[in-house]
Amino acid sequence: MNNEQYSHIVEIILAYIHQHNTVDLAVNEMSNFVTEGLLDSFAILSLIMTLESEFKIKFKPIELANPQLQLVKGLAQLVCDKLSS
Amino acid sequence: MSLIYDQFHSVASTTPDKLALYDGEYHYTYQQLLERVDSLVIHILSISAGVRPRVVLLTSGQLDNVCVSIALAKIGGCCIPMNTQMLPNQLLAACEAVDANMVMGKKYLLDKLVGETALKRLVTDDISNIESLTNSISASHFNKTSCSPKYALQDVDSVSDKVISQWLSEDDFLITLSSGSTGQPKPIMISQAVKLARAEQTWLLYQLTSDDVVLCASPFFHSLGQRLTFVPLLFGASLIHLSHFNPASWLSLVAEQKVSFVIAVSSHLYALKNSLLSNATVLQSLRTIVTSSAPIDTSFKAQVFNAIGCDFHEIYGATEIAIATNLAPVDGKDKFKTVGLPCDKVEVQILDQKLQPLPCNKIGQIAVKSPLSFAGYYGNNELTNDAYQQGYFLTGDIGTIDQAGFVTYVGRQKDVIISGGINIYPKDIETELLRHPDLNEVAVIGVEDSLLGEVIVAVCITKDPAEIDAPLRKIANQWLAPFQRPLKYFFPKYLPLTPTGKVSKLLLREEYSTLNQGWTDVLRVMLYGEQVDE
Repeated sequence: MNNEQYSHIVEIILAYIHQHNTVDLAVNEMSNFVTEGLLDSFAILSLIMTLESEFKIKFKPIELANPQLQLVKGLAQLVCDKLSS
Repeated sequence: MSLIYDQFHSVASTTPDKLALYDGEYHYTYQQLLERVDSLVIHILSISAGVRPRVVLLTSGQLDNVCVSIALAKIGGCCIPMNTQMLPNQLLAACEAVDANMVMGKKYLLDKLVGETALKRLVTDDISNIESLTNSISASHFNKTSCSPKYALQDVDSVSDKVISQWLSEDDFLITLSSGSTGQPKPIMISQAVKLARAEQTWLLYQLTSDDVVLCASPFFHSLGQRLTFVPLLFGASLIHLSHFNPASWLSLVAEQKVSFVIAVSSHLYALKNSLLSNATVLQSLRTIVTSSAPIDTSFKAQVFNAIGCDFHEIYGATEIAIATNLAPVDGKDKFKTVGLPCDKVEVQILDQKLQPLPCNKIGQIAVKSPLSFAGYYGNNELTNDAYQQGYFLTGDIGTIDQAGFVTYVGRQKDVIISGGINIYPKDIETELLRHPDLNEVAVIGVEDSLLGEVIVAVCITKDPAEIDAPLRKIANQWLAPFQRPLKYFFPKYLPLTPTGKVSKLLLREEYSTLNQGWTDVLRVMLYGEQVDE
């Protein structure tokens, strides 16, 4: 994994969550933006679309069935994997 | 007494040699128009056989529109301009809906669109040639069967003043068929008195004088095309007509004819936006541009004002009520998000879903009480009655009114997107996305979605679609709430327009709804753990 790229993507996702988070919770790589209620459904949809557009990648819905991808680190890693493949 | 004809006659008598109409290669003075109007009156009476003429007008010629409508005004007839893009069966249905008994226009259009019907026909191909027009009348009088193979010429004198006086008392001088986003178009009746009063409203609102040169780039079957025809011609100003809009033609016509006043529909203004500043030196004659629901930012308006010295007014209205509100330049800076204050003698209310008035700043339906209201929908009293609530016309538009009385237009009620149970107004989204300098035009629509009800789609016009998706999403992320952000962006070459030049969101919804094949499956999977096909 390219650490620099991974960190950059984590930063982007965290910044997005910070912008939209209305819950007073610390947010980090291990945060689950679905189960912790950090993002509502529209914000989740927007996050996925933003990542697709920003990095010119495409998520298949079935890929996102993995609960690990609800974590910041899991989603960032999937983006990295797609960029390197 | 014909209010419209008498006013036109008065102007034509005062300034007979002044340019009244310029239409491409042709130009006509007031006297020349008056001669044609009076000749046409005889033609129309000749074949009307003593029955009040209810004339469907099918033509691409502005001279036809001007002369036929004023001729019909003189004798109390009814003028029904129709869109020549209609299909024959649509046209015949429309003729039936307004009880038309005569059709006038260019021969090829009558042949193509009307064919053999019971409607009396009067072709206007000779209208530009006054000698031909007059001779055909003379010939008809001498040989009463030569005028038309189908209709024997009736003695014009048989239509008495008393009969014409009765016709003049009717209040459907003009019938405009609304573009009707769904279902049948609504036939909107306007009386001569109201038509004249509407022209007077425009003269006063924009302080027009007979020295003004008015550009009309809208079709006559649309109320804006009618307004931009009667406003100059009933006032002694000059009318410059542009049959087919494109930015280059518009710019050259404004420069050549020294146009001073225009009312531009939003799609025209979008197309012109980039050209106005770069052509500022040849557009110095422009004094006033009036726009309608065009999200043109104030800094751009200021740039145009500084370069051309041209004021921008923003208006809000409808064919049924004319101009309801106007945002004058003096308020443009502080109230740029509004469509201004109600015009003189016009009252505006915002109503809730039970049609009860709402307090300031609450969103609801815009309702307007105006002395310039239409006379009703032809042949449909029920529809007319349903259009009013205690004297206020229900516009079907959504908006707010602030404490100072400024009205904000939010959108069409039918265009509101309901996604996840939230009401979303496309104009809010369009306004923010247009922050991007390379986005020329955008239409935001809701398309059906089995999870959220509707999802938002932005259909964008730009020269460089390859690189604009991500920047637009950044703008959306910065300026719009998550529920307002378009899920998908599309970049076609053009937006489908209605015949009147407005973006057809109905066609867009039909087109893009078919593309939604599981756009929200991501949410189904992540939030609800649903299984979806790969």
